[in-house]
Amino acid sequence: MPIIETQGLTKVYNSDQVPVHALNGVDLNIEKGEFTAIVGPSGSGKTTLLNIIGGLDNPTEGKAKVQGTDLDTLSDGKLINFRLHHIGFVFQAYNLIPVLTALENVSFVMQMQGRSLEECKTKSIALLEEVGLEDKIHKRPSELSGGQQQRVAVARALASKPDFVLADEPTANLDSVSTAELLDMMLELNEQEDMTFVFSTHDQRVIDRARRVVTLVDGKIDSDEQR
Amino acid sequence: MLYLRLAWRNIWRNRRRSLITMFSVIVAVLLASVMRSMQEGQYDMMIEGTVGTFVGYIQVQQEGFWDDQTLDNSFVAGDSLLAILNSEKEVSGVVPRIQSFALAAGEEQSRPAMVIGIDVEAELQLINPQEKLRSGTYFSDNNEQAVLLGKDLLSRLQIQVGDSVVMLGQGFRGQSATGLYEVKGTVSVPNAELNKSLVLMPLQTSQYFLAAPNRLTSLSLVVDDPGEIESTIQQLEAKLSAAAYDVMSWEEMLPELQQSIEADRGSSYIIIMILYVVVGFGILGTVLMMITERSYEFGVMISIGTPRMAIAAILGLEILFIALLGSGVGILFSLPVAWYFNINPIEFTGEMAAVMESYSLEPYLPFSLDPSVFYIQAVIIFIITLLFSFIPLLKASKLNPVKAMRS
Repeated sequence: MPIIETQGLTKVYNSDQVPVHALNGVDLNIEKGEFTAIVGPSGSGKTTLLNIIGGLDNPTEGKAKVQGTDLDTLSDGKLINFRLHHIGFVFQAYNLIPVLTALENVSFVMQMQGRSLEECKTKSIALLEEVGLEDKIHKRPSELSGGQQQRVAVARALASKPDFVLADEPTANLDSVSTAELLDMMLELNEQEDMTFVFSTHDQRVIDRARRVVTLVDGKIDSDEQR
Repeated sequence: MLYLRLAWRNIWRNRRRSLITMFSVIVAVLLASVMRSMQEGQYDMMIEGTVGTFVGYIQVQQEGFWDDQTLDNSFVAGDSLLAILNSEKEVSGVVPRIQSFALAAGEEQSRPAMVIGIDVEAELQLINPQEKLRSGTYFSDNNEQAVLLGKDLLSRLQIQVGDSVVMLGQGFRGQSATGLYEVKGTVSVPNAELNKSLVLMPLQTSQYFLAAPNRLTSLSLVVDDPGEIESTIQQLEAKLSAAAYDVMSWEEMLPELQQSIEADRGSSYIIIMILYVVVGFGILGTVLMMITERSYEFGVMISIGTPRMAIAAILGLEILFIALLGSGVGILFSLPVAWYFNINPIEFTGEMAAVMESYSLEPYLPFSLDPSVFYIQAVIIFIITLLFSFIPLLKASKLNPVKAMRS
């Protein structure tokens, strides 16, 4: 069974009375362990697709299933809980909680899951070591570089032991060195821990290293290339 | 713990805004506490002046006496009754009195008078005529054939201390009551009307005058803590339920004093509420700014799986921290002010002092240090914070994460 499955996914926004088709019948299956980039020009529907797969938005038509669960059937509260336990998010602007340290940011989702403080701390330190930030665990986001913040964001995304990680333009604000380091780290996690990553990106450096590239044009899949 | 830590750190993210909001709370609490402290101090003085040193906080009377104040409703205080009253924890003294109305006559003038027969020793705990003497001397024993007059009654009768006064009235069960007594002195009590009509007489002399040997119309109780009156009355009523006695509080006996205090309190509450509503809008502004500024962050938090109630709880705690810190500091600032004016009361001079002295009230205004004056401000701030934050917090908790992150 695919970890992510979409059937005839359509999203129509009614902007100024003119319907805009952000997605137009997208059928997409993603298996466990894939390292997939969703690419396409601006307005092609990449972020909308990720939002629906991530349970942040509802499709106008069609279905989005994660691990066989139709997200549309879940209530708001259950959907939030589902995201907490099954999906890791990495955002373009890092989006760490500014008043928490790196350690506390990573620990935050685990505490929301109700795990013990001791477990949260041990696991968070291990994750921060894994992303190479063992010497920055007590730093707040404002004291970290963009690349370091994005690494903390990846550690946070992995902290809940998700089924997969959704990353919306994760390298858009990073320089080449930080981008390369982040990609190395995520590929390592993908290879060693079989973690599934799905990106939306414009960044050719990310596209070059993705193992599968799905291209969206005008809300439809234009090409789906396995490497 | 996580919520508390997040909320505490968040309020210092915009230090200036939080401090301004806290400052508005501090000023409101400071003003309200000082104002209430001054008022309660004034009320305490009024109550102490009329109740604590005249009527007594509690009186035990024969059933029905209050509605029909005649000697036919007098009683003999047996040892068992006195034992019950003296055994009550809060009661530190029992002051017997017999009270009736009569005509007081001098050589030229006569005036209606309220005759109060007092136990010469026990009464030092309440009216304390010795201290209220304006002229002359106090009684030496309960059999002395003498009277003390209200300070204005003496002049109305056109007599002097040392002269005699004829008392004429009706005694127990319709017997005639007459007597000739030496005027030993005058007293000034905290009631202008009483000063024109009061005749104090030693207890046994008055019982003989009224043909009511051993009979009393009331037992006034001296209580250690006026705040415990209600519970003391309840306990006494329970103990005296089988007997035909009424246990009355000063509020029941002096409803006009209680009502004037309540009316004054009511008007001050209106002023305080206006003050707090202004503060409430300040809090509302802060909450709205917090939510608007951080809607993106809340969108992210909801996206990664933070329950909506957690968002509302964190925001609520932030507002509560600001409000409680503000009210705590406001109370801390108001305490030394109230303490200073409690020890060094505001002194009145001129006309105001004369008016107060005419009611036998000291011409100064001590502030109250009653804890409820201060902590109630924190409770009000807590309630206002809840009221003004509820709807914004509800809206924050209902944020659509996608829209919030697009904003």
